[in-house]
Amino acid sequence: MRRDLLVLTLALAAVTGTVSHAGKAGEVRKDAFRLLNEGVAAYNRAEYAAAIVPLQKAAAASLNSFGAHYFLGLALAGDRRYTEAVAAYTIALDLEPNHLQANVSTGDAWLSLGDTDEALPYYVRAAKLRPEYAPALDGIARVWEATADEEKAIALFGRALASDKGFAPAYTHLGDLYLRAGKLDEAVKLLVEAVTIRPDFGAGLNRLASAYGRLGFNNEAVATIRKAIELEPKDPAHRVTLGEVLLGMGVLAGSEASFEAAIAIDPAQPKGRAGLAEIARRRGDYPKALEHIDRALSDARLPRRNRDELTAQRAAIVAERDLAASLEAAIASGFASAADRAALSGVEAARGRFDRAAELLSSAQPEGADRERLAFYLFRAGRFREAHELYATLAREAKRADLEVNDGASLARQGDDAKAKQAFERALAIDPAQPLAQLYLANALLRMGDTQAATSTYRAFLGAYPNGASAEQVRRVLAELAPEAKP
Amino acid sequence: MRRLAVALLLLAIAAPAAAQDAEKRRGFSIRIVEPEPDSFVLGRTNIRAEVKAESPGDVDRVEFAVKDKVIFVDREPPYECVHDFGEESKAWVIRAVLYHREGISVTDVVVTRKLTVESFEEVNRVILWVTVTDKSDKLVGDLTQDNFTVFEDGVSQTIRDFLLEDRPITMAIVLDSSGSMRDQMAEVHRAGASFVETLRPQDQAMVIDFDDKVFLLAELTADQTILKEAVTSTEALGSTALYDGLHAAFRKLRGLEGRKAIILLSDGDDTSSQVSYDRILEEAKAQGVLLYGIGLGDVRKSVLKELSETTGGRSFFISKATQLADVYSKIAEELRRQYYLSYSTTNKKWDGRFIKLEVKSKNPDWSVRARRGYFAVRGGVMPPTKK
Repeated sequence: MRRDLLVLTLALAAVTGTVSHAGKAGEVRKDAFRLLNEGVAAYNRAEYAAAIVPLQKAAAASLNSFGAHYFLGLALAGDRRYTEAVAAYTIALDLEPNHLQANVSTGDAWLSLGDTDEALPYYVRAAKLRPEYAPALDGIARVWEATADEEKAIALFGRALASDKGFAPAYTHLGDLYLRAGKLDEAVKLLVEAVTIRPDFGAGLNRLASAYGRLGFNNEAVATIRKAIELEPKDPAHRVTLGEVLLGMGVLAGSEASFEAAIAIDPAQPKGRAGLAEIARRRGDYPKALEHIDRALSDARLPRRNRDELTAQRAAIVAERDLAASLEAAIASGFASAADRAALSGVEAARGRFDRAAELLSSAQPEGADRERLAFYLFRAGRFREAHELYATLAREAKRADLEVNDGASLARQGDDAKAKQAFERALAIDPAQPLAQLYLANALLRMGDTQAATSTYRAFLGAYPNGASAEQVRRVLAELAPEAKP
Repeated sequence: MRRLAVALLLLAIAAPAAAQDAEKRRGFSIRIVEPEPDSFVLGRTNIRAEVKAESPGDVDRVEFAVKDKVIFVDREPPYECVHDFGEESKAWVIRAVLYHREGISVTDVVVTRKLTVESFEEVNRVILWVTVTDKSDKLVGDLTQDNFTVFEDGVSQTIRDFLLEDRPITMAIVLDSSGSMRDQMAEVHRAGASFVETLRPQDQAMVIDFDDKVFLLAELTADQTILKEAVTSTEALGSTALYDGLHAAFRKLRGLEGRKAIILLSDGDDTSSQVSYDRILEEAKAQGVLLYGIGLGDVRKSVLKELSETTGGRSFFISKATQLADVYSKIAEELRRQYYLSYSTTNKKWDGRFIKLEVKSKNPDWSVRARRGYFAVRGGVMPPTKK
């Protein structure tokens, strides 16, 4: 609304401002106004790179135009050229120091550069100019979040939302915080509210899809992110999220296609490159993985948070590559020790290649904790009968509830719910508070047709564990089993 | 400690509705009176708050915080403390939280500003361009280092380098084209074009035109044809954004190396700038740019005089545009006969204060002009930008 108004004002100024000027001075004035309007129009179409050139020219000619410098800052920030954006905003703020949004935008640019010290004064200045200004509160909250004070950040995001229910960025920022903190229930609740208020809220749908994906609601995750893509097909972030959801589901080819689609829209998309690197890593193609990371890191405009994440990812890939190479060489030479085989099995498991991981570990004649690891690899490789045999032995030896649960899960995956039920009951006899034993027992009862027993077991589970991914799943099941009763 | 500070800040930002209501009921308030909002602070600085309460006994304490750290807790008036903000110019968030003995609290916050200065070409090295005239206002040439003494806040300094300046100069020609200039434009163009012709091949200039808007008509160039085309194309229209024009000129010259000057022509007082006079005076003090201000007709002399003299430049006041040619000629001659002088400052305290400079000659009949001082800000060196 404000932008439209500004464009209109600028257009009017163009008419009135150039009426009597001719010659060089007239040309400069006319060009400056034309370029400003051109740049603002491109910015409003989210074509940031295209907006920068005309806005740079407009700002270079029209030296006291707040609009030219401010929109130049916005376009540069949109193109992730934050240092230059700060320079443009600084001039704009020299001209209009009390411009609320320009203060917030400057804070945002500093925050993207990772400098909370520089960012905070701009947000505070805006908050002082208008005490309940949601973007300013949201900015201060992000400063707290960046300085690792999540509790305070959450409180302040809440204030921003209380101040302006329609302020979309606070939903995404708070949603991101919840996702990073693993508070998935809170994330879903918040983001569902956000997309209910604004069904066309692409960024909200994006975060909601991420939350669903992490909760294991894969169908919801895919459907939600597809809706976001439909709404905003040019936004690479949505393709990245689809890629991440599919990657979480183990659908490497689909995930790869989605990350590549993100890169096609924005070749510098760091998360797209990170996703492709992860896929290459899982395939054991370390050179390709590092190539993706290095390409992303070569972008000087990369925000600090992305740079730090990519740097850490690179270090992990290099470490895994070197370890895998030395272990494979040892195995190829025929002189690999049991420890070498066990270590390589860990690498293979991290790549999602559980069958080979199980083979390697099995050949290492595992003992102690490595036997549990082998059982897990067998389970993840889909070798449920072997997993059951090993878990059953381990459970008998150690009398541990969690091992009984895993045994029950292996039996359930073979379709033997009756024996699975017994395993879960044995687990509960050892530890009545074992959460997964309760949950899986309810699942087994449901599959066996004992709806009443399943419902009461689910309710007992929910009473003991009201939060977390499983709780959300249980609520859904209960809503279907007994829609009239509140779980 | 850190958590407490963060909680305080949050409390301040959050400004709970209940506390605000209580504030209204009780007339309980706090206001930071020192430093002022948007001022710049460096070094050891006093922070002072004014407190209003129905009874002095209502006040439990005042906590002062800088950024996210509580720096002082004061339990009795006057509510103030001293904080060392260091030698680097930054924007700071300063808070004062007033606690009522019954538990409510109110807050005030001040955000200071970062100062960008360009006083030195190398650390601790102060550079001055000096103009010397005799009693009849004639420029005095052929002087040596021995003829001068430099004082910083009254303390004598040792001159390191001295020479008659003949290196290139970079200038901004800033022209008022507000509506009131209409009748004088033909002469303004003629005189401006003549001034451009006085530039040496190695000199560079840009042309800035202002009414209520400020436009760059010619980017920095040594091409006199381009400069003349620009200065002769201005048309009189609109109001006068004099300070905006000067602000733009200072900004455009910032970061460029060597001697720099602004040649300003205006026929009236500022009527429509977004930038304030104080801000321009600060720029004049902070940037090493000579300002030559020409007032045509009925102008407020004090403004141009103060701005020009602060920089070591000069102001001229004329009644008719026909006198412009003579003034331009004087400026051109002066720029060709200045002395370059530099010294290593003995100042050790980088607290942002304005250090007063005085250049004296040994001949009492001579008048010496140079910038009047600089801000004591370390890191005031701008990254050099090659021309």
